[in-house]
Amino acid sequence: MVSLTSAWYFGIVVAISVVRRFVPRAFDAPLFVGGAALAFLVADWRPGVALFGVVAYSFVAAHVIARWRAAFVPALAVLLAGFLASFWIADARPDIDTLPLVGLPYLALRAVVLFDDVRQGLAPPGPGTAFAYLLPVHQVLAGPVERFSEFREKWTAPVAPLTPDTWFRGLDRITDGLVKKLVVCELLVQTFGFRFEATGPQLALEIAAHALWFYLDFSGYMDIVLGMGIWLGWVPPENFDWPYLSRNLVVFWTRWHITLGNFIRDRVFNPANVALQRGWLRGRPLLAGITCYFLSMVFCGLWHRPSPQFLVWGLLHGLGIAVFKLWEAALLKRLGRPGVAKYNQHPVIRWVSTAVTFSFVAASFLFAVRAPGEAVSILSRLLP
Amino acid sequence: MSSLPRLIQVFREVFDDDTLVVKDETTAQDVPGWDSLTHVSLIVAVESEFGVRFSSGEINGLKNVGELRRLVEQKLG
Repeated sequence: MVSLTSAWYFGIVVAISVVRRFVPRAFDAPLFVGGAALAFLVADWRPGVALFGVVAYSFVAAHVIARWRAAFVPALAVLLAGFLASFWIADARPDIDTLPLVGLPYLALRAVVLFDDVRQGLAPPGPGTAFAYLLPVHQVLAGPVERFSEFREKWTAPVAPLTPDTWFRGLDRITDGLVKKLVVCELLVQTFGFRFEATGPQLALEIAAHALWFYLDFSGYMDIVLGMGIWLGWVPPENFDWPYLSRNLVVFWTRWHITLGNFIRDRVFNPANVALQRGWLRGRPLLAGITCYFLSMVFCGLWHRPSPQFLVWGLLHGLGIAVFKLWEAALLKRLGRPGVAKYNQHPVIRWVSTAVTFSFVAASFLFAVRAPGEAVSILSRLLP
Repeated sequence: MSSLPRLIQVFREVFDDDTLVVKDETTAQDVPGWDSLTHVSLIVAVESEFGVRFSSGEINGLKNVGELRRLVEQKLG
């Protein structure tokens, strides 16, 4: 199984980090692409073949879009079909490494970014650059979703030398990630079990610990990716910024899985909202916005996994944001902008809204791991 | 002639604040209530005020008021 925490994966990354500093830049792409291929060969070649197939398709499709812009929608449709097929295959063949379940959605988003940028006039990249962007050796499992323009800037910039400071900074970040994933997350699992069989305050504590586990596991993965990025000389963007201290869900989605939030804002929310405010919902920005928040969060849910479970999870977040925006609109009407600013500065309001936001997010994670009916049943046991 | 005074008027209408003043360096972090929803409302209001159209790439790439002002002035020729 492909695992970012395995010794051989670290070995591949260290080898690329060192060799990259001694060979001409023309070898960058073969090194990174070869590293990703080797990672799959060592673990399970089958998902690797699938992912490299999608990369090859995306590269060709980007060049076709550059020539015929009308090919953008058909190219997206084929990508979507491949995305759905990967989940079907993963369900039908449990003997195969489940990496396509976590890796392909990220690859698909990077491909969408590439298609859209090319559609808007960007010159399509060569094969080496396209492969390195779409399937980066240190980001094959769970992102982040870097913008192509940002990637290209880093990819063509001079590579920082490998000094003792570089090694220590990378190791420091990787150690943070390993401690989060292998120590704290493991302790949380051992302590709570996450079977959600308790009731009342004990269940509330378990749900909160479960949310903490989600954060530490994912942000720990990101720490490892960022540490590897420091070694490799290509540092991806940060993906977390103390998300559980957010005072509302809109802010939460700018601090949790930041690059996915940016993707959804730029490629789903903004275009849909602009279209609605220019057309059917002209002069009704709140209604247009709420409609687009629902659309965005449903997209977000189904992107994680196309299932009723994640549809409900997405709808819940859409509903949560809608309630917050309506509340905010009511406050604005009653207090005015300066009054709302004063209201927001009140420490009690700040703590209460942060606690409410965290509780909502923690409860919503139950819908990501359990069937909707079961999640509701668990939550109902919080009540006396 | 700078389009900033007209932009300030649009900002005041969208953010419902008659005292709001923005400069070229002003970013979303500096204006209370400037989030993903109001950003789009602002863009549509600017389009309407100046009779211009922004592409999705332009909307997503804006980093501050100065970039918005320059984009408007560039489109007005």
